[in-house]
Amino acid sequence: METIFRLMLTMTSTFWMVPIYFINASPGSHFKKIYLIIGIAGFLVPVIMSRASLALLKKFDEEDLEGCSEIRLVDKDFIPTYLGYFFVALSINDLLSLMVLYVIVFFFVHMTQAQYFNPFFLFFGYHYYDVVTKHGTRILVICKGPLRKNEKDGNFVGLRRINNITFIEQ
Amino acid sequence: MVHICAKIRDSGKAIKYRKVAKAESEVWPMAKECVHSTRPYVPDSLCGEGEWFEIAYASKQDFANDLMWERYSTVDFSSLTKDDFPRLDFLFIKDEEHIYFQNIPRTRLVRKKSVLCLEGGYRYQNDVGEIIIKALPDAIYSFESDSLFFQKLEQITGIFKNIDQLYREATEEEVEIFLNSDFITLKDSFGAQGVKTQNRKRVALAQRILSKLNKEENDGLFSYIRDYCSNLVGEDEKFMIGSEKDLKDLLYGIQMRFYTKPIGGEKMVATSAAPLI
Repeated sequence: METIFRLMLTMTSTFWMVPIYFINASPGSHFKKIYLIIGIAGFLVPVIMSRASLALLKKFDEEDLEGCSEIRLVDKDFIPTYLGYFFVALSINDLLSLMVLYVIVFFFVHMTQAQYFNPFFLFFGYHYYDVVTKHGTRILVICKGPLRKNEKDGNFVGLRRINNITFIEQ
Repeated sequence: MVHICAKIRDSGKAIKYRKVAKAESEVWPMAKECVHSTRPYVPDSLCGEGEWFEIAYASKQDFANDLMWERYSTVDFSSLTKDDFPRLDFLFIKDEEHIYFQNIPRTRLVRKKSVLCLEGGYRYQNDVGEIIIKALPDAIYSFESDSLFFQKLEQITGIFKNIDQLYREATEEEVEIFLNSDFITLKDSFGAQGVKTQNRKRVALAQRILSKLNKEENDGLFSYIRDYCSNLVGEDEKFMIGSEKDLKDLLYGIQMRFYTKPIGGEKMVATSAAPLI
């Protein structure tokens, strides 16, 4: 069950490459309209899947964390990754390349436990924080709400475990 | 709502604790409900119902576990995986005031064929790994008093390494020396190698007791033993030891466990004794 969930998260994070390809591609004139429609509709897929992932996450166990020694906002650290997806999608010329490249990107994102690099979470009001616990463990926390900066002794309540180094507070 | 965590057996320096599962209801009764009374640990004695042994300054001892002073959160632990199951060492639950421990003997780490009775009905599975939670934890540590509470030392030697060294058995050499004491005669070819664990523990204790007595107290003690264990006394007033039972009786005598009822005069032996505080 959890593997399926992680695969779903990976797909949610990477799928938006596909509609970008469709919007950018220049097929023959009778296909152009279809491609445009697929492209725009395609964006709905990751949006709906992101929402669904967030709802499913609410079923996970909650854990609490008190007294973090460091909390750092790292939203901008993911910009190169997102841009990477974007440029890859733009540079593809045909459907076959799209499928092959998508599989490769999917594989990398899934194996590096980077399933949560999801720009749509940002649209839903979440921020990414690099947190160091009292014991010195470094984790990533995805957290909704106002920006937290420079807290010396922060607390997180109701953290849900996405993987051993990533947690989300909803 | 508590988190059940575990420690796994692993080499290397990474944290060996894992998050196992969440429990919505209480797993074990709270410390104040199951620990009715405590007394300091004395080897070779038993606890009554609701009574627990206590070792003070637990976090300063050799056997101490870093859970006692490191303020871990479950977030610091990775989740227990299926492959970790055979490496489970013990379970624990930590709350604000206490840590509750249960040892997992290696023999329990077997995957078996089982029919599970769950909410949705019955299900057969051919490799179920299961850990049964006992009614009471094997040990409870209190942060406030820095004490470790337990009922049977043997149950927690798997959790706290070398805790039995505190109350160690005598080595074969030490038993040999004891059996060669001038107040003992060995018979029926009984020797140090025949002495088992329980008696070894008692020998260590007896040595300690004897070393603290002066001549007068020593004579008084032996005369007391001769009184209660007349069957052990040989012609030359030495004690004839030919079996584990003989040795046990002698050692009980050195620990002064024999007594006579004030009314009726019946001779008794206390199998468990502790100082009245």
